[in-house]
Amino acid sequence: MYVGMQIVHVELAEMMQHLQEAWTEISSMAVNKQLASSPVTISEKMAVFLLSVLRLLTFSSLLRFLTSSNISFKTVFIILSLKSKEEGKAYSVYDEDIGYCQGQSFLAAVLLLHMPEEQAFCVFVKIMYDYGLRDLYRNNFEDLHCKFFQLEKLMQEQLPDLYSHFSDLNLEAHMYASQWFLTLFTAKFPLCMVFHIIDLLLCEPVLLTLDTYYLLLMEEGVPCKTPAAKLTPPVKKSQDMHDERSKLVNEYACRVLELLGMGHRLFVPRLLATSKEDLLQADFEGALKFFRVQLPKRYRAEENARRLMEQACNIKSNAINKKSVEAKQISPTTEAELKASEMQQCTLPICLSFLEQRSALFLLFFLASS
Amino acid sequence: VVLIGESGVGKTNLLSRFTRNEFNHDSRTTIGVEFSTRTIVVGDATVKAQIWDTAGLERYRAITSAYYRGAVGALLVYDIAKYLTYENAERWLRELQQDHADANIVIMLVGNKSDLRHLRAVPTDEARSFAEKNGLSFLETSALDSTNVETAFHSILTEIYRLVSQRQIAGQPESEFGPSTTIEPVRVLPTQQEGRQAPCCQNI
Repeated sequence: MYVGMQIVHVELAEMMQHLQEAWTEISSMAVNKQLASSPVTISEKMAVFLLSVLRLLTFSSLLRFLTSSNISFKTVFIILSLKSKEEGKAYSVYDEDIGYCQGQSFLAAVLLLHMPEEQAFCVFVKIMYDYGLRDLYRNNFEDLHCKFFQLEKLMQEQLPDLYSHFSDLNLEAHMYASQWFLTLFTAKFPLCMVFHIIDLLLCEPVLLTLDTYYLLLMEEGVPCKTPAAKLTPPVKKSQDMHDERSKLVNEYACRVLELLGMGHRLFVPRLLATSKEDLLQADFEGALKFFRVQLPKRYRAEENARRLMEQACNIKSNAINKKSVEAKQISPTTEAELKASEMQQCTLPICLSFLEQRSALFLLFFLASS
Repeated sequence: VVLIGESGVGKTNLLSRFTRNEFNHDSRTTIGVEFSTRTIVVGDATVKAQIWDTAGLERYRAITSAYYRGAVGALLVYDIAKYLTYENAERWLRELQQDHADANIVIMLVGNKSDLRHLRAVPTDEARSFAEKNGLSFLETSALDSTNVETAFHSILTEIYRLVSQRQIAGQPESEFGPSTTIEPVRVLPTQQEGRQAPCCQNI
């Protein structure tokens, strides 16, 4: 595109200037009611322009720019989700079973901020299939409802006061958490937090190579009220082991999200825990309003988002350490398992350091090319 | 009250206009459901309306239809500039009536985006006669310029209030309205009474 081509050659500072101008133009359009009859075409044109600018910026410079120039993260979302409608359409052709779902565009937008369209598409497909997001949309959202059930059970165990407060209010998980799960938290939360979350999610493939049985143990163990019997190795014979393994691999795909911090097991309870005091005070409407307004607002401060993610990561590592101890005590460990457990312990710090350095971007490209 | 209708007809903006007097050109798609309230005065009573805004996309029906059951009223919204959204209103109506335990739910057909005069694809008369045939009340609104938004919500809430107070006078236990509670069916006046016409905003 003409504008986009031109932009490639200008300096970063000039790009910022363009972006600023574009933003001013858009906001004045919104105010000017005379133009209201054709807002979409104008925004779409501007979106293409803005997107071409945004793509050239590095992540941190984008963040710096956004924080320094009063552009709300929300605006960037709006612009990007306009553009990414195309992405959603492309996916619906690719995956006829699921088709186009509103909500996919939020995740697509996050990916488009980092990489060109083809790569974004590949990563998107990968997240849908290999990370279990696709399963949430299938069979009339059965998996999603299962997650709500699990979330409520987990709250009952970990946040009993909040659980009973919500029960008194008749406030059920599907009223506030559908959006969280279906969009991987990308719809309401500010970008700085969304990126952290997606980073966390994308760091997990490092662990994908590990023994699935071992991971299943971990899953069974959280939140560690599982009877010891369940923790013993399921099958010993090699052939059976093979079948069991392939079954586990399938099951595993669905569990990735919940295993390692992304899903409700660790992340959502943490999210709720940090807001517990506010939520305990709130009535039905207040609580829902809190989820809609205050909660996303709180994490607009990057510091808050970072702290939350740290907490989520810490729980994760504790849970895993505990699991490895349990595994050693209960089952007579084979050499392979021991090796897996060692690998486990050494990969996690790697994951976390990835997070700290925000170099999950590297992983994104790695994924896209594989 | 639930807001239902095809994707992109303006349900979210209708609600935000009514509850917060806001309109957002770049409103984002609703995923699952969103919730808002507003308190209004009906006669000498104060009525607090809890309104659930639902996602219009077919796929999300599995999630949103759960909210039909507790509803005492529904605004069935279509876009006057998109005939298909009006055509599908019949399907929405059927689903609402199928999934809904309470036959006394008050339903209003709402043609939104009445400001788009030059793009109109659904004649007012056609929609009105469809509404009459199905015992629905009918209004055309514009969330953008606020036309009839207040009127629409007020008239449906007044009607609901009237039915609920009748129920109470009749000595029936007061139902608790919430998405997960079942409402006991009660006998009220025939639905023709609900189909009363409110003035239309457009005179073409």
